[in-house]
Parts: sequence; C-alpha cells; structure tokens
Amino acid sequence: MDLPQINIEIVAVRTPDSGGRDVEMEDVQHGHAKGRRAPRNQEVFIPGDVVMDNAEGWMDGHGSYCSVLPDKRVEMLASVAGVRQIFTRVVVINPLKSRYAGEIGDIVVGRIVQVGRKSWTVDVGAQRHAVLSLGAINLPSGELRRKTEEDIGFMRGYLKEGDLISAEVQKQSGDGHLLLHTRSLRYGRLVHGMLLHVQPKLTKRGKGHFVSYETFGVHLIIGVNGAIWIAPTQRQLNIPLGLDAGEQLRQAAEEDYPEEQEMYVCMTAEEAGKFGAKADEQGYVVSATRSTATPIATLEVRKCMARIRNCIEILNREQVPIHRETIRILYDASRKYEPKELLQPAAAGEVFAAARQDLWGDSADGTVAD
Amino acid sequence: MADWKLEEPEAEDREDDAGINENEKKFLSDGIIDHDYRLDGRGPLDYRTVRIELGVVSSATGSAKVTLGSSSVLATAKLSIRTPGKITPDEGLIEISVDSSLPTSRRDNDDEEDMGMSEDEVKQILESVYRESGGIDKRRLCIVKGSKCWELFFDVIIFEKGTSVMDAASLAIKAALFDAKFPNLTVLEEEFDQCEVEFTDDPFDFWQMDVTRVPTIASLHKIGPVFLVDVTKEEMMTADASVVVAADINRTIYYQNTECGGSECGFELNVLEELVETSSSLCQEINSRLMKLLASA
Repeated sequence: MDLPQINIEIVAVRTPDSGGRDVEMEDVQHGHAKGRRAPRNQEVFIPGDVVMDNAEGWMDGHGSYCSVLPDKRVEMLASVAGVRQIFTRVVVINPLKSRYAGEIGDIVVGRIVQVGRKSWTVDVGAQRHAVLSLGAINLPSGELRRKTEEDIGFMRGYLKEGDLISAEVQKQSGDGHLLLHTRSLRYGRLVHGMLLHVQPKLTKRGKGHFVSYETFGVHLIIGVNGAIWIAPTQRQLNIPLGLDAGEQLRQAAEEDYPEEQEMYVCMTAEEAGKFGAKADEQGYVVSATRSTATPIATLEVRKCMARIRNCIEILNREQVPIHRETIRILYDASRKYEPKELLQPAAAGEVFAAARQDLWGDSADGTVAD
Repeated sequence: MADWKLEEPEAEDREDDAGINENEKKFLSDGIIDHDYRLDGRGPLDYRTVRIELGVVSSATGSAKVTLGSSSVLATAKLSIRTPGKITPDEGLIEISVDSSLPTSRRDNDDEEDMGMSEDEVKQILESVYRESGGIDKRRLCIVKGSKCWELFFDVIIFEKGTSVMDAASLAIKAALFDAKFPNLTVLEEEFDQCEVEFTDDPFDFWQMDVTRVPTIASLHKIGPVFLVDVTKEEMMTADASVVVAADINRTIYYQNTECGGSECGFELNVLEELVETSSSLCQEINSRLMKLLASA
C-alpha cells in the first residue's frame, strides 16, 4: 500500500506584536449604530439591512419588507440574506442560500422517510416533505389499473423507508407540499450508486437532468432539488419498483419518449478521448461492454464516478450552475489529476481556474436553460 | 374510508441526510473491500486536507483552529501559576475543557442516535491522552519543585462536529501547545520555602515547548477488513466498528476505544494487531508531517 495522503496546510494568523489587542467597546457600538440606519452601499444584504432609504412608491417583494419610521418616512428592510433585484417598482431580495422550492415538472431525487396509509412521505429537501401517493406510481407488473386494498398492504414491498427515488413533481398541494409521481419508466427506485447534495439553486430546471456517460459507464440524475445521483450504468437507469433491469430496459425502449434523444450524451471514441479516456487504456473498453457477471462497478467506473463527484463538489463550492456541460468542462480540465487530488484546495483551484473561461463562455451562450 | 390525513409532513427537523439505505451501503463497502477505493477517490488511509490556523485568539498564549472535512475545532492554551499537587511535586497541571457551539450540541430527537461523539466523550479521550497518559510531559511545567508550577488550560471549542472531530481536536491541541509561549521567569528565593516568581517585561522573552513527542489521535473505522481514516458521514454509517487510537512518534499507543458502529458485525480480536500497526504508523506519519510544517511556519 502506498503512503497515505495527508495534506496539511498551516496558516499563521499571528500578528507581529504578540501582545493582546483590546477591542474598544465604544468603537463597536458606535460602528454598529452607524451601520444600522444608513443604507449600505453593498452587494449583499443581511436581514435587517436597509435596502432602500425612502421607500415611498416602492413595493416590497420577496425577502424585503417596509417599515414606517416615527417621522412617517418609509424604509425598506431585508428579511433574508441576499442580493437586491429591482423589477420596475418591486424590490426583491434574492436569498443567497435557500431551500428547494418545487415547481410542476421538476425532476427530483428524494428519500422515502415514511410509509403512510396510501402514500409515501419523501424528503426532497424542500420546506416540507413531499408526498408520493400510491395512485401516482406504476405498478411493478406494468399493468394500469386502480390500486386496491391489496396494494395498500403491499406498499412497503414497493418502497420502504430509506429508499431513494427519482420522481417528477406533479403538482403543489394547497397547503404547500409537493405531490410527486413516478409514472414514467425514467423514474423509480434508485439502487447502487451514490447521492450527493449541492445547493438547490445551482441545479437549474431544464433539459438533460438524466445524463449518461456511456463510455465511462456512469449515469447521473441531476435533481432540481439539489440531490445528484451518481451511479454506474451497468444497472441501467433505475429499477422501477421491483422490475428487473432487463425488462425495464426493454420497456423503456418501447415507451415513446420524444425527449429521450436529448437525455443522453452520445459519444464517439473521439469524444471519449476528449473526456480523458485514453485509447490505450483497456478499462474504458471493458466498462463500455457491460457484463452482468461483474460486480456492481469496476474500479475504472468508480474512478470516473469519484472524478465526477469531486468535479460537482468544486462547481458547488464555486457557485457555478451544475448541468451536463459544466460537469463535462470541469471533468475535461481535471484530467491531469487523480480524482482524490481534486479534494485538495490547491489542485481544485487550479482546475477551476483553467476551466473558468469555458464555464463562463458556456453560460453566456445561454446553455443554462431556464 | 379514504383516510387522507397526513401526519403534517414538516421538514424542519430534517438532517442533511437522515440515513442511507442498504443498497447505498453495499455500493460503498464494495468499492472499499474490492478495490480499496472510496467514493470520493481516496484510498483507505487518505485524509482530506487539514487546515491549521495558528494564533487565531490573541488573548490566549497559544491557539490553533483546525478544519478537517466537516469538522472545525478551535483549541486555546492558557497558563497560570499554581502550587503542584502533594503526590507529584515536580509536575505541572493540565486541565482540558471541551465545549461545542450551540448548533452542534443541539439534539433534535432523543431517540435518534447522535452521530459522532458527545462533548463528554471527546473530553474524556483528550484527558486520557494528554493528561493521564503523560502525552504532554508535565515535568516541563514545573517551575520550583513543590512550590510553583504552570497550570496549562486547554479550552477546546467544537464549531462544527463532523466525523473526524477527534483527529481535529488532537491536532488543534498539539498545534496550540506548539504556539504557546511560556514566559521566562526569575525565581526569587524567600524564607520558609516560600518563593516568588517575577515576570520579565520583555514580551519576546519566552520559551516554547518541544511538541515532537506529543501524541496525535486517529479515529479509524472498519468496513469489511479495511480500516478507514477521516470517514465521510456515509462511510461512518456503513462502518462495522470504530476505534480511536493515539500514538506519538515512538509508536506508543496511549488510548484505544472501541465502539460498535451499530452493525451486528463487530470488531474481531485478530485484527487488533493489524490495527495497532496501521494506526501507529499513520500517527507517526501525521506527526512528522505536522512537525515539519510547524517548524517552517
């Protein structure tokens, strides 16, 4: 076994005069009192900051509210930490960090937290748990019929607590929780893979939430709720509630799905080369031809997964929208490092700096579908 | 009949990932057992980047903040002059206190097992390693035998309790002790065995302790036959067993603590030797790295 990788960074914050420095209490109070009332000319507002000095004639939108001062002047304050945006007469503070707010049609990845009488409670990272009702799933047998009492008894057999699913938001109920459905063969239970959480605002709605890197044998589901599922392609897609993979594939092929074409990154050998697959490297060839006898994932596949994972982590840290293209760009740029080296800030910074041009050029093209 | 009452699916007491299921565990452990390859690409004995900030607290004589993975720990060293105990007149005193900031000490649910260690556990281990087992040479803290000695206070504050909080805490203590400046004293003899000490006015007249022999702690988790360091949350939940080992540069093991990771498969006796071997060489490696970096800092 080679030497363990121990990477230690030491920062000396010590000031040259090692004596203690007293912070003047008056300074603090004074500075605070001054900063409170005056509108701060800055990018980021924190709750309680004055967004607008004289808010007469302006409307308070999300994340801001008006307060009437004793002298009848109206000022606008921020109620969340974020950046200001003005739409004609409405002032909105866009929060920097927020929970996932669902919209109809979103593809989400969630975890079952509770099996109820006629529905499952799913944690999708939103304000409230989402609900997947028994009526909103496809039965394992594939037949379409009304669900019976028998099915209710068998619910835990379909999905149990802790299971991960991919699903689509069907609608939002009146009291604010999301109703999910898995009525397509794209959705279903997820097994054998890893889940990664990123900031929900970085995973934008758009096409291509199902990404498959055929040459590496890696498959991604980028949930709009910030949960990203990384899995080896060998166990193709997801197993919809008890169907075995082979049958499911066949059915998926039969199902007419117009978007299917765009969901996959089809790659030729050349393109694979661009991605980092070396022609002489046997591993990629092996992983491309899948056999059911091998374990869940080969080492090569795991390496790809680790690299993709670490690339996504970098994107998440650097506040870059996470979608097929940005992952590809960063994957490309990170080729000279081992996946584990990407965990080091220095290497990650270098990779990101190298990819920066491409990343921004990319979003300028409007590839970030909204 | 149609009973649509939902038990208010509020998500407020939700943790980031409430738990992982068997399939995920299997996928994770397969990679480690078959290929020695973790999900983020690390080998079993690879640490994430350790970030050490020295001298962050200006009012303490020595301080260090260590960030390792999701754990973040601040240790400060403070000094005072005391009379040594009757049994050990030539030794100084060491006190360790552990505190954690509010969000980490909050427990949502008593039934739910708190991931990682409690403050008390951390404190107990740190005390065993650094105070009781002679991890820090207490004789160096003696000023006048039987009359005056240094008392060394370590205040450890856990900002974020990640999975490797023990490792981070031990590194923080070691770095804080390295950073600590003991002022040079002049001892004035007086009658009746009484003596007075006098501080110098020069703030740069101090000595620093040699921390080469101060042990570090490594917490190891066992998945299958493989030992892992600096685990992620997922790996922690998959682990069969976990141990905490402290070793210094001479490969002396100071402390071992075995706790069951919630799995039915525990910790076999026959792997103990391998474990000791692995962890002590690991601690040695960390020690030498740290010392090299501290020397150049």
